[in-house]
Amino acid sequence: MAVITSSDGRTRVAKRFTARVADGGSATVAFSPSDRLPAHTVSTSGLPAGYSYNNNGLVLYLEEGLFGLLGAGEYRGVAGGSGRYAAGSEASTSTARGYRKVSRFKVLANPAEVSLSLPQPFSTTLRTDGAPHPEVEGLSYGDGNLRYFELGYSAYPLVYRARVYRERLSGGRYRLPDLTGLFGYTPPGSGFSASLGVRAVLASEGIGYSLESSNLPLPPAGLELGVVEASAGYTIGSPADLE
Amino acid sequence: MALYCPGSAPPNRLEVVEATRALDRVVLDCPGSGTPGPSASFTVELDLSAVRSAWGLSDTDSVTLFHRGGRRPPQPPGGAGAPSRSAPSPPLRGRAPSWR
Repeated sequence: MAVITSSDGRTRVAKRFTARVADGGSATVAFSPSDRLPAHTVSTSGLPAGYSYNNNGLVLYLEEGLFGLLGAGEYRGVAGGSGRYAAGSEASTSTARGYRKVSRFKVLANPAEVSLSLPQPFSTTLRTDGAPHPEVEGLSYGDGNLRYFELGYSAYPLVYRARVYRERLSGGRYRLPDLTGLFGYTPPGSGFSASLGVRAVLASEGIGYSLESSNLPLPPAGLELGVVEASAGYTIGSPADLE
Repeated sequence: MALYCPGSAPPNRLEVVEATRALDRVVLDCPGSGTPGPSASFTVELDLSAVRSAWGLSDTDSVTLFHRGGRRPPQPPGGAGAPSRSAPSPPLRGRAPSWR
């Protein structure tokens, strides 16, 4: 797939083609006027106060085994393509010991105008009790599309990932299981550095895979995802807010 | 056989190596690894002469070829590209976890 973009990030043309090239060989692909499909815009609303965009209206073309960036803010469909389009925006802000981030993605079967509404940041206070295998409180997010929370905890040599489904939460708290003794592991002691991140994953339909996967399946058209994240570093032994 | 372009940025993205000033001809190149096998060298030329004027193409535009590529050549255990057994697991691929 060849993509030509202007210096301001808009797609001039995107064309999917098949070229059979032998090792050391070359292929020529000719473009014709009909290869240029109509332009569509991507608009984003709901930027939280104090946040700034990391990406604003990026659009990807997705196929099994092939994906490419089409543009930002404005894009055109891929001539000859039958894959999906994913539009997304992400914004973040720095906090005293970390950062917060919100993002929204939409998946389309066909190129069209897209409007993205960023989810709002956590309104609860996310807090760790500072234990080597910490308990996190404040796991609550008021959105009917909330599917699960992802917790990421790092305290050398431990790197922890946990997915906690909304239905399994009690009182907005979750303690990471104590792995002491497994595989010769000993937990980090007080005074060591740790970092903890919490993500609320919002999805308009069930997603049976992790957003961290290195081999994501092609997402279904119509899927709308939101991710709300807070992360901070702190010292083991000291309770801390993720601010 | 589909060809895997070694060293190209994921997902097999090739960069322009040659373009005419008028942007009616663009060549994208995969230099290859220089070793036999499915890691190939090849070029793809885009002929834009029929559309250059109508589309207002400019020499400040960027051109990128994303290609499906082929299967990455197998790596021997412990060989190049294989993670060291003593190294800690790398962060999960995809987005950089905020809590890495």
